[in-house]
Amino acid sequence: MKITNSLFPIGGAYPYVKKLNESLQQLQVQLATQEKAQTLSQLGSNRVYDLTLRSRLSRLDAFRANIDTATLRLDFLDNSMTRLAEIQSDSRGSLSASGVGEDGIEIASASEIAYNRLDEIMAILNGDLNGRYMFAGNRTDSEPVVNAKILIDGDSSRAGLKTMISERKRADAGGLAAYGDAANGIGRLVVDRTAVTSTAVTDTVTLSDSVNPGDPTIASVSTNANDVGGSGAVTITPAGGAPAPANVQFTGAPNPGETVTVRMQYANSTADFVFTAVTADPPGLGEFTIGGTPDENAANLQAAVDKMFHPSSVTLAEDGDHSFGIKLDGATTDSLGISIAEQTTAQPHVLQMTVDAQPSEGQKVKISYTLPDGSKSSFELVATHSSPPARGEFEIGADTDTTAANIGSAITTQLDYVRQTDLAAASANKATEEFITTDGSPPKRVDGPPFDSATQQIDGTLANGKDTVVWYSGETAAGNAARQTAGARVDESTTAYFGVLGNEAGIVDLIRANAVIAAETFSAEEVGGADRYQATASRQVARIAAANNGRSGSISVISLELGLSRAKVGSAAERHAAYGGQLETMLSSIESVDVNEVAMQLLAVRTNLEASYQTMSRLSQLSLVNYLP
Amino acid sequence: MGLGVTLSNALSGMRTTQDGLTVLSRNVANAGNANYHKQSLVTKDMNGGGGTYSAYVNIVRAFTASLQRNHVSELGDTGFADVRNTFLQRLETAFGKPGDPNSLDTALQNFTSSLEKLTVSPEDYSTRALTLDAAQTLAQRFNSLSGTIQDLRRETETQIGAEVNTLNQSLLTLQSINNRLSDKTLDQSSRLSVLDERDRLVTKISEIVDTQVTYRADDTVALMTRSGLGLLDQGATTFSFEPAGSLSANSLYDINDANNGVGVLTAYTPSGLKLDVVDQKLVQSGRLAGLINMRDVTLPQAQAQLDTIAAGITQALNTNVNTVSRDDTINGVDLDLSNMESGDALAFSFNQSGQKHEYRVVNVQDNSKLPMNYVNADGERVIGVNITSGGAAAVAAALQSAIGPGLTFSANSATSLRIADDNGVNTLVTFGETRKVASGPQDGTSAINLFTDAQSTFTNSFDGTPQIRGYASRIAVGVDFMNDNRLLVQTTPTGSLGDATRASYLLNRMDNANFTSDNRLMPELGNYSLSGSVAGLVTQVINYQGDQIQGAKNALDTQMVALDAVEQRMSEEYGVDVDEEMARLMELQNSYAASARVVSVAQELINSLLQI
Repeated sequence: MKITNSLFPIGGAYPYVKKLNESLQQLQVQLATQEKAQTLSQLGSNRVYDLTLRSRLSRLDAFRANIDTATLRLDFLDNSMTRLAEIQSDSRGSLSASGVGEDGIEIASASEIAYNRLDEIMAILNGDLNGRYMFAGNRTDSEPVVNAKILIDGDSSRAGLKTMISERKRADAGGLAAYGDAANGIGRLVVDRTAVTSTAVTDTVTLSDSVNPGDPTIASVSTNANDVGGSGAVTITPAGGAPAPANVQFTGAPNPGETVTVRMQYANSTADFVFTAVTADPPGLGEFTIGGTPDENAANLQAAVDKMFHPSSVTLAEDGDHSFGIKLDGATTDSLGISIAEQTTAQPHVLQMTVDAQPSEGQKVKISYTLPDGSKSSFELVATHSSPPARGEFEIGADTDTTAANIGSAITTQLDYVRQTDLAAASANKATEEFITTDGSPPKRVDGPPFDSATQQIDGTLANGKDTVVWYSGETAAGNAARQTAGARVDESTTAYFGVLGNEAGIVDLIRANAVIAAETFSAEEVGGADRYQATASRQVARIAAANNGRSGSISVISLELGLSRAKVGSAAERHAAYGGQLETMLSSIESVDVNEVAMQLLAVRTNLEASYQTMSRLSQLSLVNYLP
Repeated sequence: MGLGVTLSNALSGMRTTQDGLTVLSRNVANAGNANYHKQSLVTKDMNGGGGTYSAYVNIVRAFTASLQRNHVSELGDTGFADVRNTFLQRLETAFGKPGDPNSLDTALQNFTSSLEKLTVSPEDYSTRALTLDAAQTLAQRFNSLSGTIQDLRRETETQIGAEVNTLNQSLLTLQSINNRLSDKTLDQSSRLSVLDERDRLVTKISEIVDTQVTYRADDTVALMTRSGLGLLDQGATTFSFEPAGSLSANSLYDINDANNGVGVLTAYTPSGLKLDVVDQKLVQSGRLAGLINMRDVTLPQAQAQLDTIAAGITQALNTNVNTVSRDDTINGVDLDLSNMESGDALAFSFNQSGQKHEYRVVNVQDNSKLPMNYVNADGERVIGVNITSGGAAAVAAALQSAIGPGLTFSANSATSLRIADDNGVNTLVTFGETRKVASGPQDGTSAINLFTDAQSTFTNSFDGTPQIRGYASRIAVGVDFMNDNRLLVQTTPTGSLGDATRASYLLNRMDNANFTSDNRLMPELGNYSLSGSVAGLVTQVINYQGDQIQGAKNALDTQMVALDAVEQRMSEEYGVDVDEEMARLMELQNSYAASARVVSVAQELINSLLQI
């Protein structure tokens, strides 16, 4: 039998009591959970707001997590950059100190101190935060730089900076190339005087070795006039009998720019003297005017050779067309008796000083040149009667020929000193720049051995048999994009960038400055030791000078940009805090119940229910059944 | 007149009173029985033998045909609403509340947040592991929601079977009751209880199918559905249900029996007609209609929406979008059609006489689906072409015929399509792009097949059964990524782990890639189309389902109020009021006592007479 609610004392009231009971239950649940709605459908029309707010809040949470990460990384970078800045200013201080210290102690210890700084720099660059290498751009999974030991010394299979510097020094110094006192190369230069004698008979020039023993000899004579597309106007044949190795015969007129090259053999090196056919008349040093007939051409070439190897002149020439050694820029003199000819457009450059009349004492010859690292320098030679002359002086001889020879000796002596000081410093500097590259490519090595006559560079790779340490293996970013190699989205449209690369200009300069000092050994004892140290140190001081702080990629600029990034992160965090708060409030106004309100409602419903129950219980007594006798 | 008449009158009064007590006792005993209809005694004054006396004539059962019909109709609608409410509440539990750990929006937000963190710390193993974990949770949410939906569909079939059983039994019983009622010799009081049983059965049937009742003069009933299917007249219609067995997302109702994937409900009328109840839409309300509606419309719709989201997330991550802007030297764009999978697309837009046109060409390798040419919910015209076999030439031909001479389409090569305009005179191509699925985790592109169709690539192919159908139940995180989570970051085997390019691309696509549900696939499911970013789709679906559930609840509530009102009215009309019966009892008692007194006085009078 199905019992219906008609059995209740007041059947009609039953649904209402039931509803009251239900709302009592719902209010209780609301009070317990503090949530208005327990199910998806109860949210009603607020559902879509609820979903939107929640998705927004979840996004903010993700951004907050990103902000935390970004802040942590910026803190880490801040510490690292601060330390690098300190090392930079330490380096500046210690490298600019003048003097050599007591007993040269400052020079002797410079290398060790620089090595320690280098060691710390590399350790900082290899610093990681939770396994993330911070100075590697996006290659955050491996150490971006090698350690100081490997950087300087290399390892069992790869060459380090020391090898690079030593090879470069030899390539820049060159082989024994002068007569005189020099026992070593003088920066890939040759000093020559009367090494070649020449005669012209009709259309043929005969080039012969000097008759003086010990002078350099002619190694070969060549021309490019017979190359494809050339004039074919020059024929070179070995002449019979020594010392007359070559005949240069003209069969017509050479084209402008065609050359006859005389290669001279020195003790341990060669040098090319190039004679170029030109239309200009009179021709410059190392040039001959193109004549109408073969005979004229022969006469002109002979004049050019004679001018180059004149007994009263001294010729200073580069030994070939390559990037090594000293590059001649020019010569000047205040002596009317000395005339100067220069050939500094075509390679190799040649300077010639001809002593037409004896200079007076105190008059000077000044030679300017460029060192391999691009720095310009010069030296002066002062005419003197004292014998023997000091370095930087030349003795005025008995006649102009002797004076010319003395100038040659003085140049050799001076260059020998340059080789041990400025040139060595410049070579080390250049080698360091080529070793500590900014683009992550393998360093350029001197193509040798032999190194002292090398003319080109090759990549320091295993394939080339010149495996070399590559100091940086992080990301390389072009231009100002370094910061953007790592970033964190802190907002839909805001990304805080905090990428720092180990190969940024400022950091590279700091490493180079310390590495070059660390790779060299200095001693005040050795010849020019203090000067070499000063030459090296002054270059590095210039490299890390405070004046460079404004350059893109300098340590100051990196710190500044990271600071800007931090400010961006900070303001995003504030924005999120404020916005998140608003969203939370909105969400809770949709989802949460007001406890007071619920309590009041509970009270009201309870009162209502109690009243209903009481009425019903009273009414239930009111059945006629109870009153029947 | 004499004492005899007095005595006879009194005795007839006592007999009537006894009859009244019989009815009253039955009423009191059945007070509270819902199926019991209040009975009352009809008496009549009789003239005869020189006197008037009251005599029992009939017992009347309280019954109002219109109220009854009203009740029956409300019951059907309530049954319909009740089924929908019950099923949707279970779906609601599965969907969870926004912000619940098991809610779809939470899973999606966690995944997006993890991608956000991945862009900052791609080299961190645990960040990558968390991203994969979030991806798996998301895939599992889709699987489990799909599972719930298909479980519910399977359950509808079980319940349809049970309801059909009950319906058949009830109809048969009712038929036999009809037979008994048409027998005029039936005893009055047993007839009344048969009538109670008849009304109970009609109530039961009307809960299952929407019913219209005709009460005939001989108390028999005829039943038919609102749509006019006769359920019971002389004979009863029988129903039979053949379940389809295991239902999956691919088992959908189709009016064509060959393609139908769900169970078939057949009605056999007494005249021997065989009718497909679902095809002919013979039941419109009642529990049966509710179950069929859940099985064929509401639940497949929820599945289709989940499929759309799952496909959206997958395609956001696995599509390499290559946008080509207009090249002034060729007055248009060249699009690279190499390596197009089924479902890969190219899109372009152009202005013609100031009006913007958007086109999309989809690679369809199933020639039975061609030609395909429709406008999708975003207003893009979609054209299907077999690019794999026809190459750029086929695309050029199809587009040229679809668009006409305004633009010039030509094939530079088999895999390069040129779209050229007339340099702004009438037409101007504004942009073109290709959308291709990534070929592998380390093919050098940023897109990845993180989500797969049961470990094979999801390309949203139209070939055969559209790949999107039921995709939510198959979506799974690619096993490559499970084996090596570095693939989330490295676009090439030697790529840096710190490179956030891929993570940023994925995040950007999750935020900005837009998707539209393809209504063409299931036109029967209505016009509610989803469109927007992945997060937008999720919001729309949760909101839509919430609306549906809330709507079902409200419908049930309304229906219950209506039913309550009718039942209230019925209990007033048919129910036994004990107080009333008690009052009547006193009345009868008094009446009996009075009649007895008359008898006793008559006795005294006769005695006095005899003592004379």
